[in-house]
Amino acid sequence: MTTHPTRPGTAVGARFGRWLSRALETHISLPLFALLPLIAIWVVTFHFIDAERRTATAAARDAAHEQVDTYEAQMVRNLTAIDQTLKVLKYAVETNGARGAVPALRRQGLLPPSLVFVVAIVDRDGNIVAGNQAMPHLNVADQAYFTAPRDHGGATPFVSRTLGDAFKAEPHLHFTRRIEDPAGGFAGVAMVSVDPAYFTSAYERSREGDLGLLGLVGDDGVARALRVGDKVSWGQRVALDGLADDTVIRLAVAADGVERYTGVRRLHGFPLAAVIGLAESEQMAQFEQHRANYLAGALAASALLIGVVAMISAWSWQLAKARRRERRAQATYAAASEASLDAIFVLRCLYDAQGAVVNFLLEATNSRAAHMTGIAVEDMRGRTLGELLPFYRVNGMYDELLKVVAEGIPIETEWQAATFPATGRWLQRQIVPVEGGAVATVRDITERKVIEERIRHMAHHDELTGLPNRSLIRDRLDQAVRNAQRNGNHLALAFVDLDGFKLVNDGLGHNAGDELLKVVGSRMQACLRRNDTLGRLGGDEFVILLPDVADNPLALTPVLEKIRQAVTEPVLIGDQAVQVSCSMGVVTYPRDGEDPKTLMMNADAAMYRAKDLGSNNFQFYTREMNASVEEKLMLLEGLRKALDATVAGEDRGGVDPDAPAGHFHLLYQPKIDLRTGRIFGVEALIRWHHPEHGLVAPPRFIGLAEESGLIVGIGEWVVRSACRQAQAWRDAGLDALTVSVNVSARQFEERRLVERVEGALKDSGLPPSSLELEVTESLLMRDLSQAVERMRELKAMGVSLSIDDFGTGYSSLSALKSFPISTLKIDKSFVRDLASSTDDQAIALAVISLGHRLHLRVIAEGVETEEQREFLRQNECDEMQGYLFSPPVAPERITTMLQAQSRDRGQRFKLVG
Amino acid sequence: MRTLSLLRRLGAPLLLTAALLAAADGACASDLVVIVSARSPVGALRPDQVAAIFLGQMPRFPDGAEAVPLDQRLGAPLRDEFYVRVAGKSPPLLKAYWSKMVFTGRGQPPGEATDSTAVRRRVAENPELIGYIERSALDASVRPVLVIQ
Repeated sequence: MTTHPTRPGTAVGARFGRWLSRALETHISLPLFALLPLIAIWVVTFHFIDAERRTATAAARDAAHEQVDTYEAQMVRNLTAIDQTLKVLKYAVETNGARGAVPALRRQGLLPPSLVFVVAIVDRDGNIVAGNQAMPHLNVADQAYFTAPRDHGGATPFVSRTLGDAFKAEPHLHFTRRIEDPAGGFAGVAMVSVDPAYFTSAYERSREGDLGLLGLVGDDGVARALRVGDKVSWGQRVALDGLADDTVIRLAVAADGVERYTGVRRLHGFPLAAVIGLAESEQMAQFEQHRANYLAGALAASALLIGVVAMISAWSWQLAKARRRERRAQATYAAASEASLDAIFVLRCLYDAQGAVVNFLLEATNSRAAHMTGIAVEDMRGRTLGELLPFYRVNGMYDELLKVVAEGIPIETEWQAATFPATGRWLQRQIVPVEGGAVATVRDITERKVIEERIRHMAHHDELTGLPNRSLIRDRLDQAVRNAQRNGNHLALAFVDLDGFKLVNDGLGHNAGDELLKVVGSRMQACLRRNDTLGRLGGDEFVILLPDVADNPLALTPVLEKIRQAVTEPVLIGDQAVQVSCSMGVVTYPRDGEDPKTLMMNADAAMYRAKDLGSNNFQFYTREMNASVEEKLMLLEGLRKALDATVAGEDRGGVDPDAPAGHFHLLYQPKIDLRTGRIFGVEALIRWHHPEHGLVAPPRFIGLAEESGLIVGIGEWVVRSACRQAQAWRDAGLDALTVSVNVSARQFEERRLVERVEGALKDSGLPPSSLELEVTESLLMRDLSQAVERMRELKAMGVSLSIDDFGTGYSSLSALKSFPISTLKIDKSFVRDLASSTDDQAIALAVISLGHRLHLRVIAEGVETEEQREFLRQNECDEMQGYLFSPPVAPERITTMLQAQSRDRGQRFKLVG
Repeated sequence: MRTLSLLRRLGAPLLLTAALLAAADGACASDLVVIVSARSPVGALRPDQVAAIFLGQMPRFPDGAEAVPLDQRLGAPLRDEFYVRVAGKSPPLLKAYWSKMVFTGRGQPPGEATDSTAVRRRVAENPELIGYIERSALDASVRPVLVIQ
């Protein structure tokens, strides 16, 4: 069984292959191969040096050999000549006697030159008897050169050591030979003395050099003459023992220690040897020079070789490194592009003969690109864009590519794909120029587009109804105005505000309110043409833009009426039917404004006008409406000042009876008990005297005060003033009165209402039971539970509560029983036609009956005629107030009335004018 | 070890001698003539020619006749003066020169005569000979070829 038998083999093979490929890279292989010539250079160099050395050594040996031959020959000849002279002397002495010998020889020219040789004859006693020069009178009988021939005779001449002596001061050698008498006895000595320099005078610098050696050495090993260079010396021992004749060896014979090629020749017939030495350093000087040259040459060649190889290797290494880096970059790019979520197309330009770009070659793509185009990566590579993705010619990408290549500036574009497989997808492409081509990156941005679309929709539409919001309306209006301006068209803009929406929202909850808005919105939408716009500004405010209408505003009436009616249709929320209406303000362009801002402002004004006119109608804008806005602003400013001034005035001290212009003041309307006809209470009513516009009617400024929040401050002032006034009457000992103060919805919502009332009572000292707060029915319905809570607190304090304008709102009768109230007030609208209208009579009767059943007192307001009073009295209405008895009057007047009442106590009261 | 320079040992007394000679008989010193036999056809010679003949480097006169030099006695002041003046060689140098010539077998120093008279007589007798004497010793038997001032 073999399991994966090739596996280890291939691993090894792969490793080997990798190793081999690395080794084959120039920067590694070249230095390896360069080792060969390097080694060759040095082998050859050393070979040459060695050969040269051998040659030089042989030459030195030959020279030494040759010179020792020559020197030997010269030496032999000279010594022979000297011996000849000795023999001649001996003969001459033996023939002519010691005295006659020298002259005889001189005559015969047999004497050697006196310049070089000193010739002397010594007699048998050792006295020098003759010579070739003037001889000193000396006895040399004790000298070795005398005793040796005397005692030993012998065939060979005696050679002395070199010395200076009495015979001759300068150093010299003595050659002596025994002279015999005819009987063969010792007769004296023939002597030749020679300067040692003579024997080395053959020294030639050109031959032996500066350190060459030339010498004559005795068999006793003592040098007779030794010349090295110019210096001649003698007397030293020279070890020639190991030296055979006829050989040249390297040896340091002299004391200077210089190695020399030394040759020695023992001189036949003399106890002497000729020595020659050639200094190795000099003989090998040329070789050394050559060797240095060879080495220098080899070094230079090696350096050159190494330098060149190093350069090539370095270059190759750089190249390999660059290639590796490039490969790595390529791999990195490939990995990165493959991992990219974008489709990447690397494109190379294809040119025509004129050098213009005609097509693009796909060099590389990634799998994302394959996914996007539906063509496999391998199938794309090497193909042209034109044949592969022809639709790119028409979707603008091709033109962009040309532009990018030509201008070198990246281009980014978004488009919706029209071809399979990305059909319908939103794509974004970015084309970036690269050398000789471009890179196109394509990204699927569909998701982003969808989200963007949603965000854009959210930004421009109301979340609840899905209708355009304020910003989109504003955009559309801007556009519509521009179009109308350009085309000379007319457009209409209507602001729609739902009447009674707050009631639904507060009473039935926000969900109900939202549902209502949706239903009303869709109903209004149904009334409009396709290019009309319905939007929601917020809350219960809608806006309608009719971009193309007739010049005549009246032509708008049908559609507006249709909308109004659609809104008024009851809406079923849960299982409860709710009915609202709407107030509309309408403007047209260009009649009511030239620009969107003005148009909107005026539409708003018109809408408020419609509201003012009792809701459920539409109003076309008129210029006066703007005036009313201005007046409103003016009044608001006046109110603020008035409140400040009034409060400040009181702080200075007490109630100012003649309220100056600009201050608030209170009037009081008496309330009459219908059975007794007596004043039992007053209703405090605020009045405002504007410094410029005179007396301002309460409905005009109370609404404004409520809108602006000033009502809180004003209301507090009213309560405090009323309490103070009531207490003043009590202090004056007049009949006890209940003072009623109207509390607005805004005040009632205010958290600190109870506190404020308590404070007013405490400050004035008025018993709580003497204060009655009148609240409107609609006020209570806004937040039932909170209203009841608040009322209970006031009731607990002892303050009475009454419901004002009962019957005008949508009072829930079931809620009524939970209210801690003591009085119901019949609204003056029912009282007004009481005499003639049976409907009103029925309502009044119902209210009275209801009140009594609930154990509440019932008061009618706005009683102006005797008939009304009579009706009310007969139907057991408890109390009344109105012009029939007294209009609201200054407190002093009340004082007067009360005083009169106490005077006429018991009497039936009469009507007061 | 005795490695004394021969030149130095000999040089010092020699220079002293030369100085003494120059001082003692200065007039006499300059009166040195090179002579040949009156019968010799040889004309005037230049000092270098004379030196070459005496140093054994020129065996003939310029006219081709054999030339044999004759020295004064070894140690004669005239001889030393002659070699200094004509060949530029002091006695030690001259000795070294001839030592080498003799040792190597290339020549022998000139023969010697005991004094100027002997020189004159021998030169007069032999036309091949050439010698040198004091000027004062001149006579008709010989003919000066060079006067050394």
